[in-house]
Amino acid sequence: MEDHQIVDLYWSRSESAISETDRKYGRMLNSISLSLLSSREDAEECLNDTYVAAWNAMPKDRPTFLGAYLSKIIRRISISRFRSQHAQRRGGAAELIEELSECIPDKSDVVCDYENGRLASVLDSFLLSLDKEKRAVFVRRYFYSQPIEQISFEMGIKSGSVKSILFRARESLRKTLEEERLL
Amino acid sequence: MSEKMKKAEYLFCELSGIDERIAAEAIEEGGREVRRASKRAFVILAAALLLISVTVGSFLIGNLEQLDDADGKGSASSTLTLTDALTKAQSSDRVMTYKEPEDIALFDGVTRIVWKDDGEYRAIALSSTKEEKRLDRAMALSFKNALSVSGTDTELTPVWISYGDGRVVTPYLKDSVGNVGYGELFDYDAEMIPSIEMTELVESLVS
Repeated sequence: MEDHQIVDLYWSRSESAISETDRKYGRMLNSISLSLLSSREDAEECLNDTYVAAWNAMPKDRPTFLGAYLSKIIRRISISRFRSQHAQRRGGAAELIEELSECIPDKSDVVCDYENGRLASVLDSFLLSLDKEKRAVFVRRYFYSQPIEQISFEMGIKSGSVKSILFRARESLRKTLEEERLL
Repeated sequence: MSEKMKKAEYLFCELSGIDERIAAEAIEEGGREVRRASKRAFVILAAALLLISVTVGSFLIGNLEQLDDADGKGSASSTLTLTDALTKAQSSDRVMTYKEPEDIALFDGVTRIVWKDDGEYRAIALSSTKEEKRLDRAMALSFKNALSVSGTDTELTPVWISYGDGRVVTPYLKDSVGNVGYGELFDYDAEMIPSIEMTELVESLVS
């Protein structure tokens, strides 16, 4: 089923909206949550919460890219659960956050814009400044939380090259955040 | 948590707000790369499932008469189901048993037939290119000759094929890119019954 057909099911409050969503995107969404939480039970709960959130958001929302729209929802839900977990964080989101810590400017004496909402638009501009392949690698790693091996396989790029692309992209993002006086 | 890590966590969270077109394009971009890469990767058995199924299926179906004359229709066909064949296979030395699905290597380059039985996981590793080709043929014919699962009241043993590069499929789902899992033995609702070729393959692997 095409995305717009599935969205139509939500808008018409059809019971098959969730099952069609699960058929098309269930595995991808589960992979995102599992990568962040490293727990099948938690990932399954987040997936169910995502479907509830989607059901409640549509109608009102009419996303064009349903997969990306749902990925955002499950990402937020999974990160929220990750943050609330009291156990020592290993693997999953912790590993990705540690990688992204390289993007945080070292200078601590600069007055930074931390929470004024500019970061999202700066991130969009940064991503659009990358060429398509590098952008796809970065988004697959830090938005979809895909393992390096999966990115390597699905994009036909050697894993060493994936790591190089990510390293250079993180460097570039760090410079961007410095110039924009963010974080 | 250090201030730097707090900011890194904030940055990670804010990535949820990127433009959906950018997010959608990233997944689509990978798909196009797979189709270009798989023509090379097929030679080293690393191509995407869709191109592999079409290419191998076309090759095998095109040579079906020769293969069938050798060991297909002429031979005595088994009346066993795939579930029966897997149950019988458990006594074979080739079958490894695992308590958890995470214990099964999915990225070690080894193709395995994996199934779940009574709470445990069992697997047969394919040990030669010849066996892998037989599996490809069985899967291609399975998709071609598969029976509808509707009306079946037999309990179906969950079965997966792990190709050793992260890709996981099952002979109980129709051949499509959407039915390829990655890095895990996924749950599924059977859409079709695998054909006799899959059953015969399992029988031959453990005989």
